[in-house]
Amino acid sequence: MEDFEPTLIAFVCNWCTYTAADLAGTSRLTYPQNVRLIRVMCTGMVDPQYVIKAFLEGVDGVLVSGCHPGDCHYINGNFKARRRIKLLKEILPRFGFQEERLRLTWIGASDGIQFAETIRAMVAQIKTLGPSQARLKMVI
Amino acid sequence: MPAATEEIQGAQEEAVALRFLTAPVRILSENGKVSGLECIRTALGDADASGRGRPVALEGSEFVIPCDAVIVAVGQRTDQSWADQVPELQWTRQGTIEVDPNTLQTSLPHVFAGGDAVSGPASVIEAVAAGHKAVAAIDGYLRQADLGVQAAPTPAQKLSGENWRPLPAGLPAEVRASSRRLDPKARVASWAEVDCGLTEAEALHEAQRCLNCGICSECMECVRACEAQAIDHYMGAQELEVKVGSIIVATGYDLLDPTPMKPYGYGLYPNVYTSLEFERLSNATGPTGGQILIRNEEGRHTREPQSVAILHCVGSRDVNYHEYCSRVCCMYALKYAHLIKEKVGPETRVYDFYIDQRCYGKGYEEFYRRCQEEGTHFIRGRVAAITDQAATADEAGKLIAIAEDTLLGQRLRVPVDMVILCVAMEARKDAVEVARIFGISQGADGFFLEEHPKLGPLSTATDGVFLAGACQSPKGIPHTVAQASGAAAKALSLATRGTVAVPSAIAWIDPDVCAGCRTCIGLCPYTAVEFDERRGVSVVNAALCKGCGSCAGFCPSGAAQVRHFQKKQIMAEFDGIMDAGQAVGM
Repeated sequence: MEDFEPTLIAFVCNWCTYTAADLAGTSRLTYPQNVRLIRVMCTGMVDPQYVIKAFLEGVDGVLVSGCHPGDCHYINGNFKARRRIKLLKEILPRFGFQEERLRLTWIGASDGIQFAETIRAMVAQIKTLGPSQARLKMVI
Repeated sequence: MPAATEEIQGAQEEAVALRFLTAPVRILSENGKVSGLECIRTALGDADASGRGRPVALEGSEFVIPCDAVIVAVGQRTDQSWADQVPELQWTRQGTIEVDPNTLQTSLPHVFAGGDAVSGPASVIEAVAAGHKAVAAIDGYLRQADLGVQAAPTPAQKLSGENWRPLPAGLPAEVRASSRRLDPKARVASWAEVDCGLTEAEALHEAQRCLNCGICSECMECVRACEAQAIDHYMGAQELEVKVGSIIVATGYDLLDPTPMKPYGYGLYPNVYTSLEFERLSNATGPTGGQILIRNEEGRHTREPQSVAILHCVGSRDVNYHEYCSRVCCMYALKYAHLIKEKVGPETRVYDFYIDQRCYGKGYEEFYRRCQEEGTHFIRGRVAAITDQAATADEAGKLIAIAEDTLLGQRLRVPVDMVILCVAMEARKDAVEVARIFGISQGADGFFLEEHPKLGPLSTATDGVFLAGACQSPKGIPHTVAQASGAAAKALSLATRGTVAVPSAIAWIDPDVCAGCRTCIGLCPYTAVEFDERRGVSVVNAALCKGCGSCAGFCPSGAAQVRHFQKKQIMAEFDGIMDAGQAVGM
């Protein structure tokens, strides 16, 4: 378990968190390389199916990150995401996934440091949770 | 006696003896000089046709009033010397010209009459009114309009009793002020004005008896007086539907209410003003005519202040209220300091408590320098409290600003007569509602969010809706004008082009898959999804859609998809990531 390196998928919104990740890069900030970003226009367009699919494929953690409440480029897409993530967190444990593996955060476009910090914290947390059971048990 | 009551009273006070039912008979003289007036007593006889009793002389009741002078109060009547030349003109029994009371037309249709010749002795103003009335009737006569309708008097309006504000119960009755009169003994010996009028204090007090219950009494005089015909009493609220291609939102800002900030004593001490209140006070059309005066306990303006404290950043740059800088305060605070020095006098002490002086514009720093040269005391430090608790004799009767000078590291107590709070500009209370109506978003501070701080400062997330002024962020007049001109140009550029380019990454609903559940219609923040009743499917209006994917994220059948972010594409991207990860052993 010592050398367990989790795989993380992050659905990030084009206007805030994707820009923050960009800023983290241009600011030469370092953060764990375990995360893969999938850019969407808004967290409101993240279909719960994407998250479930990721977990079923053996991803150890999923991050959905958008604009701060009130800052959404599309008025209220982040609130829609918040509702969907809340429901997802309800059903994930029934499939054997700890709800901590799914995380929703708000990271503004200028928060490069916070982006790096969030990834670091999430990777550390997933490391303590261990690998996703799907990877070990499920046959796909 | 048809004299005014006050005239009769005045005469009696001056010991003038009034003799009623007395008729003069003859004037007596001795050596060519008046020696007396012989009078006879009369009694009222039977009433005549007009209902008035005629005096009848009582035989044998003659008596003499001894006197040196007799003043004859001659009556007035209409000059009828010319009447013979116009025999058709009819006269009344009182010797005035017979007219129609509404039109002032005489028995000769082309002759109208007014003034004393019609009414008998009366005032100038009544004669002028008759002239106006006659002119209107003549105008109608010349146009051959129906004079009866033309000059019908306005019917007396019955008051409904609803046209004034209800008066609070338990109002004390206040006696009407009456003007002072000269002492009767003094006034018989001089020609000085008898009625001294009200003193200024009495007049002010009298004016304050007004309960201010009157809203408009609809006398309509303003309608007649307004030459531009700008007043319409019948105008009511109406909803207009205007078809437009673009909208510029310029709804402005609210001023932070400093009442909850107890230490500043706003609302407690009469001489703590907000910036806009001071602006009003120093305005030439303001309550003091532009004089800067402090108020006493009753709120009356009394004298000019000897010292003024101006407090910057009240509610701005303050984590407890607003973190942002309100941007205009530093400059208007300097303006106030300059105005006070100019209007009240250069010896007035002005203390300017600031955190940072942000004089960022063209000519601003120079103005700051000028205010320094004028002797305004600039103290870097926020005021902790305003109090009226004097600690020394110097502070008695003053407001004391307790602060720290952070440059000197010293605590200060500054006694002043007046305090001006430069309160923060904040988003309007109805901004949430306005934002929802126009589909624009608000920043964390409540101000409307522009599309991009650098590249789209005028436009919003909704195409065709532009921002101007303080509804977008606190700003002064020059920046508002610049932004508004830009927004107008943006709106014009849309109008002149006549066509709109839609972005490629917008939603599309596959009509073959859509089940017509209409969930997406409620989710769309731009009302871009409409329902096609004929086909039973939801349809995206490409001109309104911004491609947020709220519909795509929820669509139960997967019919709604954002182009370039389709489910297939996202899944493919994910598969690619996983495959690449596996290749490197993740």
